[in-house]
Amino acid sequence: MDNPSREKIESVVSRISRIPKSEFADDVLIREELGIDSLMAMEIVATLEREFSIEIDETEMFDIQTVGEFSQFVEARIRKSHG
Amino acid sequence: MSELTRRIEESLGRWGTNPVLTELGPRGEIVSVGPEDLQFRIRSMTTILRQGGIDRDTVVALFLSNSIDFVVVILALIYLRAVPVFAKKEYRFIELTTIFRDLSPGAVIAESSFVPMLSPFASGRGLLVREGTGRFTVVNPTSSTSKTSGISDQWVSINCTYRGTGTLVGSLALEKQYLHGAKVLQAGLQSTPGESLLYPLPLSHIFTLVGCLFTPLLYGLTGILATTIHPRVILSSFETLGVNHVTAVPEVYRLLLRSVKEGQKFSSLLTFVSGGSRLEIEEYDELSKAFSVEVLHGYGLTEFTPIARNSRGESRAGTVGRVCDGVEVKIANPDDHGRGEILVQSESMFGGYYNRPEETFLAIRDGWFHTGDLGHFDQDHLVFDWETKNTYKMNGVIVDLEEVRSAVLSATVARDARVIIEGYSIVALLETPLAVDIESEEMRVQEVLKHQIAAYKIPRKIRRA
Repeated sequence: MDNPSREKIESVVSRISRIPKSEFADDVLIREELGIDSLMAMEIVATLEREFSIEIDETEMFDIQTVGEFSQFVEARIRKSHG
Repeated sequence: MSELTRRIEESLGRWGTNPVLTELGPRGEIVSVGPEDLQFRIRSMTTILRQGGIDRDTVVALFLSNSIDFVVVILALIYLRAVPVFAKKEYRFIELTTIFRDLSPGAVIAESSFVPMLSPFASGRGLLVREGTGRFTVVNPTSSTSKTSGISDQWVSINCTYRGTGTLVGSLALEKQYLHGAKVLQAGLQSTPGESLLYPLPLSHIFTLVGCLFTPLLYGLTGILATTIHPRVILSSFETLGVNHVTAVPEVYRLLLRSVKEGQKFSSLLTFVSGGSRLEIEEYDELSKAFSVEVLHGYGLTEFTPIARNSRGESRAGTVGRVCDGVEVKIANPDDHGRGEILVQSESMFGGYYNRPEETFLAIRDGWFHTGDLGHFDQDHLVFDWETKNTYKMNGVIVDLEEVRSAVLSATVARDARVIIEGYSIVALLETPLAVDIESEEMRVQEVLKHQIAAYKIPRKIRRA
């Protein structure tokens, strides 16, 4: 993996969910396949906000289904916040 | 007018200038209603409900998200003496089949986004839909034949719960259960009118209904209904809204604890009320220190709300406090450490499981309700140890492991299955021949279960036994 943001995002998700990074294929469903519930999702969001100094609006995440969509969403937030 | 609605009217009549309810949105946005506005909205809602054929003796299944509208629907139904069934939007085929078969609601009120899921079940019943704009539409009027006979004036609601037997049951919550619950929670909280209580919990739980909706309504506190558990939004609201009390489950408090910045001050906070699952002694201490609050942890069930709770000025870490006035607890067959099953007796207990006389008979023996939970007394404080029934508390929500096992068995080629908890995850162990590719079977079963049971119940891992 040569995308440092992506790697850090996946590290956070892996640490909080206790799921190995090897399971994070782009098309894996976050809720159904990884079993990430709303509480865990909020902890991931709060941790990413701190680590990247960004703000994530929960309402923008309603349609996100997969690991790939989530990573792209956070990466876009990081780019927006830090130019 | 019932005693509960009379007491609500009285309380709203002397409310003062503070909001009765404030809705905290996911971006931190605020909507508030005062007493007159709330009463107007309840009256308008009763008109809509009546137009939809919902009235006294209608059993109404609710699939709504936290909002002021949800509160208005609940209160309007109670004013009409209809009986709300509190269901979860996460429920899928198995839970929905049980609800519509056993509780037989004559009408359904649902968010529009949930209607496709409900369509096979809602046929022939009244249907009111809450659109994204917050507008309620009568899709199908409730017919007069959908009224349920034999409903007692004492019934306020039917609350879904589990006993570890594999089937969802509807616990009949009586008026005295609500009134008593609010009274003893207020006695422990010792709040004064004009204070506020924030709750990031689903209104479908009885703990939320009694502790967060009715306790504030009856004792003059502004209820702040958080529609988010985003820690940044909630922590920020503590100061902007001058929050005095918070009621949540330990899992939410852990989230807040991990998100609070060192040295961050919350000048108005007084107490954190906690329940729904275990709160470890270290967490109690960390919360007290980080937020400068008194933590009031308690214990209750859908059938008794609450049984015991810590009170201000005398809370003790590791316990669920003193047994509430009006409730008796005894420990059955205690071991050498005084530990045994918690049995409960109270005038204000539930009215049985709706349409499930056998489950009711098995739960109440010799006048004592068998909780299926293990506990002991530490001096005069009760300590909850663990559940002995075949259930698991996940974020304050009960998962019936037998129900999960049955769902897994209906979806797999395996001869038998066991469902266990590993760490914080549900795991299914399948008895399958070695010829079966277990990884493919895991994916296939999880895919089937997505449509069968709530997502939070789907085993995270499925392995060979």
